[in-house]
Amino acid sequence: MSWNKVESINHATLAELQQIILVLGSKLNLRIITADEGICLLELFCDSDDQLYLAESLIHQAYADLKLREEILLKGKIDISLIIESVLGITNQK
Amino acid sequence: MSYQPRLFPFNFHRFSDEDVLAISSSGDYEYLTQIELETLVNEPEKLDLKLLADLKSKFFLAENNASGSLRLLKSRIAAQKETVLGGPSLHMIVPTLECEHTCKYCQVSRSLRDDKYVMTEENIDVACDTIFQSPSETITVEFQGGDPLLRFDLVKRAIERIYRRNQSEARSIRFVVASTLHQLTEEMCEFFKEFNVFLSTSLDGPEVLHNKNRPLPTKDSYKKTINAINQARNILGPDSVSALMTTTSESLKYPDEIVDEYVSQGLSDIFIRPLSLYGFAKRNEKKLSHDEDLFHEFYLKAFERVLYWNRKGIQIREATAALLFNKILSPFDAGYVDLQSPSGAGLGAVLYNYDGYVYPGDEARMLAEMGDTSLRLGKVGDKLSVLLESPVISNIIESSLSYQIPTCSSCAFNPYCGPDPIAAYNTFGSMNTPVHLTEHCGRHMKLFDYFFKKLKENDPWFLNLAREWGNSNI
Repeated sequence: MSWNKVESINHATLAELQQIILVLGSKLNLRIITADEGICLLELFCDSDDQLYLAESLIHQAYADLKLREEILLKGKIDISLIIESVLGITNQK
Repeated sequence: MSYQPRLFPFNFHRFSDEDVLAISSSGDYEYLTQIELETLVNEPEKLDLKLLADLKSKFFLAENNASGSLRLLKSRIAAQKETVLGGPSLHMIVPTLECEHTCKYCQVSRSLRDDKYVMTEENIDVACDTIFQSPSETITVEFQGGDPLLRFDLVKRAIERIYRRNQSEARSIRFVVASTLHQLTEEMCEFFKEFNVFLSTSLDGPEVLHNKNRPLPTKDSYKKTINAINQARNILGPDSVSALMTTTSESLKYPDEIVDEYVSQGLSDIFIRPLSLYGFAKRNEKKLSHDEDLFHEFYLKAFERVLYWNRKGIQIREATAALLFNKILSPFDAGYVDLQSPSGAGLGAVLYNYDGYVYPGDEARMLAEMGDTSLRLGKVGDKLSVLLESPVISNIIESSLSYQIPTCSSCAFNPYCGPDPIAAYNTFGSMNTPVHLTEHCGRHMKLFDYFFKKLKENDPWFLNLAREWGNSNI
């Protein structure tokens, strides 16, 4: 058994991946390590290709979910941060 | 003209390839299939009519030009933030650090008989007066330590002073004394009865575990605690004492036994929480701390045991679950300091310490005890408005605005949660540590995931219990 690289991940996908790993990947021995220039690597501790394929499918799910979130933000149109800031009385922040 | 609903921003949490939990900005939620999720985003008008109506009522969708929905959404968000915007409501006073125990996990206490670790009478008086500078109508004054009952004279002085002042202020004030209760006397109980004071003590579980976690030279800390609880109940009433537990690595072996101990002592609440590695506890980190996953496993077992007793008709509430059910199921926030955005440290809670300084909560004064005084807000006696304008508070606020933090803003649980900047500072040396790296985030993500899956099972008995806990005083 050894640590195997699954994929490099950019920063924007990191949070998405954290959530995916938490739920769908909880049975896999995964870790995220920070490599050079802020790039993170998703690694899996395994000895079979089956597990590696499963980890790769998590990555694909994470990318698909990220895209969907971007679409929601785009179509949502309302800036929730403005509503929260008006509730909190925060001005001149942006 | 066909109906074109307008999409409001929301987040989702994935359960499986086919199932997600969608949570709107108001904190309302809906379980959706993958197909329903994609339809909601791309062609909401094609959704089933009932689902469409549900999603509209939950702020996922609105009519075009629906300014009324926006106003309603704003008022829902305002209701959730009320507890951090209404001024500090939790005021902690540490009259002394003295304590008879020598617990390995204790963060701050000193066994020394030394005035260096005792608050002056002058500072007690000034702290009591500062409390009334908070605009909050509902105030909890909590005495912490060390063991505050070792300086009952100071506790008594403070309660009497606050009580006198409140004759004209007419605030709703609740007094709590957090103590081992080993020093409790009949005279103290009579005083607490007169001023309606609640007692909070530590009970780590069955005798063997409690004595191991909380050693006394006489090796009888469990017996002393139980005797004191009974003494207090006899005079103050059955609901006058609550207990808190600390989870050490040793505790992980006893999830059922710990819950059973609380049941056998007739306690109606148990708060299953991880060990806070602050202060002296950090020195014993290797011996005491527990892996995040092991704690989660322990929590789930203990929670199931709590449910087991409730199913048998024994009412015992688990506080972590109750706090999260409050977030999920109630439009009004219970004000739990650790799950606020902006953080409740300072804005919701302040601590007046024996050393003459004011801190944004318990954890900050523990750091000071280890030599890091950078989280001091100012001195006891400074105006509350000045304390709350300190750069420390600005830093806490800026680092806990979850809607601005990249990992939090895309998290489905954002409306219920908030980062813990002081814990991040304690662990990583910076309040601006990426939130997803913190234990606070990992633990709560797992808990939210677990509770939403439990709610999804749609067991009427469990749903009733969750609603009851979420809407009760926590």
